[in-house]
Amino acid sequence: MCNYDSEFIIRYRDSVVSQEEKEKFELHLLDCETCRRKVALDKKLIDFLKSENSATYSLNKSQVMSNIDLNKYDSGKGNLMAKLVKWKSISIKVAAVLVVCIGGIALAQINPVREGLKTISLNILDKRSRLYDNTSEDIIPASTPKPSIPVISSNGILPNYVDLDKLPESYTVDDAKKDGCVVFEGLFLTSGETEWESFLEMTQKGQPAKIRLVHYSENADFDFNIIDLLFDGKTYYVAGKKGIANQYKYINHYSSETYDYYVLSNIKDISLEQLSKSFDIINCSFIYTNHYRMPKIDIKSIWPNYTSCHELPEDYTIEDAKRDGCVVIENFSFTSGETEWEDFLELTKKCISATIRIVSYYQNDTISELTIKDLLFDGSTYYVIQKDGIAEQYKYLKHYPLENGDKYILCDIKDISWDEIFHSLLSSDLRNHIRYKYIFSINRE
Amino acid sequence: MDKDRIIVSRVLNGEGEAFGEIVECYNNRIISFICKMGVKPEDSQDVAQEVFIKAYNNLYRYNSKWEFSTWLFTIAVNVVKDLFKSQKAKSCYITDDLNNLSKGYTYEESFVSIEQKELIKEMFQVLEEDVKAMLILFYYVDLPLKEIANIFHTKPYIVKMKIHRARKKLCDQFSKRWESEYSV
Repeated sequence: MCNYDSEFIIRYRDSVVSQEEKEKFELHLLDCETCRRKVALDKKLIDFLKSENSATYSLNKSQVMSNIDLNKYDSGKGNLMAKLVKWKSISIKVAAVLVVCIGGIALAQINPVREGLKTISLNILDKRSRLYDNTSEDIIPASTPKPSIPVISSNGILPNYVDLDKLPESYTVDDAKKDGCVVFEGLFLTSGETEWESFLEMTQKGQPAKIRLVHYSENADFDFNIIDLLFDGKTYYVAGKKGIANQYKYINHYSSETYDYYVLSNIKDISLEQLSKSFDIINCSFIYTNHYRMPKIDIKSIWPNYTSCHELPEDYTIEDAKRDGCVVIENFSFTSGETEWEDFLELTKKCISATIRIVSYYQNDTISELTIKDLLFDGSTYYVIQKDGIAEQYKYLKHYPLENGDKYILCDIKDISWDEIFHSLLSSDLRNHIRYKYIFSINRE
Repeated sequence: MDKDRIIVSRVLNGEGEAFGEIVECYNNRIISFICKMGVKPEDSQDVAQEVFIKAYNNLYRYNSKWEFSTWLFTIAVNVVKDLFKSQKAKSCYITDDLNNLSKGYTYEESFVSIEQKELIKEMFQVLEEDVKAMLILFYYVDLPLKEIANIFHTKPYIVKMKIHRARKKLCDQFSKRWESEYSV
């Protein structure tokens, strides 16, 4: 029977429980699905409250301005009203500077998405992505004193160390690689393996050490997250631009033939099974995940003319994709390549090798997103090419004709229903999770 | 926000056009607030417009000892509450950018997990209007407890307590609902 009520769960989420209570509760979380669900719900609620609106509907300044009496406060009647308000005298100079500033901001806010739509080019693959600080969620609330970042010398791992908040806006993944950071692109570790090993070695000896982790993914948000991981000889600290986000006692390592996980937590020797039940809610941090060590495949043998989407010219457009025989899906409808897709399906049914490129474009008032997936079938296995030669593999291509449209996914389980996949998304229990790769959806009217 | 106060003083000194800067600055946050409160997205522009017009017409009443944002959101809270009063059935459409809830998925992929988010939003709408507004003002608009307390003519600790209780209530309700739907 569970002794923790929602009252405690909210206090735990706000980090206003003692360290001892916290550790005890986190052990309990591993076995209590009800508590895990409650913690996850509160997290999702706060995420919802904090999220930015898509601003599908936004107000035009002129709509308001045309409906107000601009002369309401003119010098005749306005002065009297103005006198009712206590104002500090402000020099016209300051006001003028301000107008210039605000003007500047207004200009800078011209919607880049709309501008970009004119060409729909592939330059979204540019890695000069903005720096994004992902530590806000973990930041300890103001009610508890915030620990200061321990000063730890770079000890050779990061010779060119620059404070996170001092990194230039134009800092790129390539810069991070040069600086000796541990870099992940998508699910793959692409740089810094040696640095990571040095870091682990030092921490095992109880020596202070620090390392910088950079995650980059080319999805809708172009996430580019940078965190520093510090070890002062006793405790691990995860720090972002806003300072220390969290601290942990242990670093646990899990590995198999296909993955490597390094997880920070306050529980020593927690099993991966226990961890997977509650990884998203327990106070832990996946700091290093090399999910799938994918075997390299020889793409050229199956797809002789293959050009990686990274090598396409910057001005490559949707129209070019259509000309090149790609499957093009715009806002969940085929706009090109439907026949090519059917041919691909036909070949795979006959176990004949086949290849196809799928370009999905989604656009509304605020978002425009382009994803490219290269799909390859060698007669028995499906591959989604991630980087040159490295590919995720799946056994089956599944088609779900649902009421509102069709969904295509790749997975390793032959007879799996859409409901089962959907349930795996809802579940906070990692054991329910199903490994699959979403390919695309077509909506029906 | 001294910038806001300067703009207000310019408007009150006869420079009506300067109010456009206020609209530009707060437009998105006001629309977001209105939508999160449960106003139909297609009505949100009209409601936001009403908020700004009311603010403009009553600008001479604004007391500069308050943050301008607090004053503006007080108007927004009242306009939304009046709207709900006038509607027999409350509209419960929330347009919220789902991206933040689905980090790691592309926009397209996030469609599959909409159902779960809808549930959270739907349950959020069950809360009292004042409490909903307090939660949005605290977590989204980022107003300090003291400012929120001013809006609702109450004490900061009361706001804190109401926010805490609301989260607790949602936790309990969600848990019950999950158990009945998935018969765990």
